[in-house]
Amino acid sequence: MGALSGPVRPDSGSIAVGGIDCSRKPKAAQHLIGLVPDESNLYPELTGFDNLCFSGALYGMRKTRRQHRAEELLEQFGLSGAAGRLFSGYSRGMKRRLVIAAAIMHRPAVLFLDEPTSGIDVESSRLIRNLLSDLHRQGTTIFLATHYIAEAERLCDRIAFIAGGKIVREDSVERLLQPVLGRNALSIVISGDVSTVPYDALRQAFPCLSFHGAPDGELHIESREPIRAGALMRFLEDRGIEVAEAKKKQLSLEDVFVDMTGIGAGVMQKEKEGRGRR
Amino acid sequence: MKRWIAFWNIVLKDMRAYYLKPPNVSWGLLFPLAWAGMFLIRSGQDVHSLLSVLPGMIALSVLFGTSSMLAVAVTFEKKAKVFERLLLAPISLALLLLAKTSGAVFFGVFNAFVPFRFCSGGGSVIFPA
Repeated sequence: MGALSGPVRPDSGSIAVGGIDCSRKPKAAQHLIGLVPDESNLYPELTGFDNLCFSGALYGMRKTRRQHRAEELLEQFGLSGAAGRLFSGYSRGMKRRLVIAAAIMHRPAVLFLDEPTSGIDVESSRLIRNLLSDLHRQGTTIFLATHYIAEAERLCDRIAFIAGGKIVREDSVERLLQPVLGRNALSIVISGDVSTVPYDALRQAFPCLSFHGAPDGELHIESREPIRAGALMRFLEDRGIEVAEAKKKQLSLEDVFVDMTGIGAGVMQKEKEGRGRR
Repeated sequence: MKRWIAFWNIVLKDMRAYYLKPPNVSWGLLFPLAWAGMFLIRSGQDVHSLLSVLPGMIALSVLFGTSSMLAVAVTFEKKAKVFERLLLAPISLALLLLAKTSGAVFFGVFNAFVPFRFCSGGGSVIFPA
């Protein structure tokens, strides 16, 4: 993200935004870019309105134009009532919204966002997701880095999975979802030790189903055929295994990611937090 | 033209956010006043005798006024991660440095007016002959 937006030099290769080489002409490329970092980068001692006007001024916008644009964005982001309040007094969700508004003050062609909805309230995240969809519809290219795979699935046209610092797969959402389309899944919570489940007997009795035991005591079942949950539970209970809960699962992009990389999104989040602390 | 809009707004923002805060204004007044008072007490004469040391007092006021606040402003912005915002703006590093230092220079020059005013008669009010 740093290399794409300018401050970090890439170790190798080249990056171009709108046909402009970011390494050779970073300042020219920065006209086309808006960046929303994962932490607030606005001035706590300025008001919301002043922060937006200042952001516009950095891109050479004239006073009346930037004031008009700031008012328009405050309205759009539901912050008109807090326009005159200091940024330091904003809630986390409001801060996030204002940081995004500041990044699009100069109407960039490409908007980079790092974890835009991380750690904020439901209302703000919904508003941000809707605003990002609107921006995309209006023609802005949005580059979103997130650990919320469901959010990426909902908002993005193309997704790149990154694991261990490398892109393991990059494709459209439809193509990425291909492996799980038409697959049925059932999750069964076992009361007791999941290791007591007779996997061999299960596979023999239900040959078209595949079974995976998770350490959290859940038994995951997948199949291309419809899963007959009643027969399965009777089979388990006949062998003295008590089923606490059974739920039908909608397979998603997160399952594709876990299948592909072997790691959960939670592990990735911990990795990132660890890097942040170092 | 566009880059000068950015330049001027960085200067104005620094003045509003850091230099024109009440503690800095009072420091900017008291510090040169303390210098002037110190020289006056040392000379044992009237305010007009300070004219010989006025250039030195002005230089000291500009130097301390400029350097002290600039260091605080930049390190504070780096710590609060807002300096990154300036680095991401489409303005050259040279212009950014010029804008950051200009705010501090204005503050330093404002400080220099205090000993100047002191020697041009204001000091007689505080230290009557």
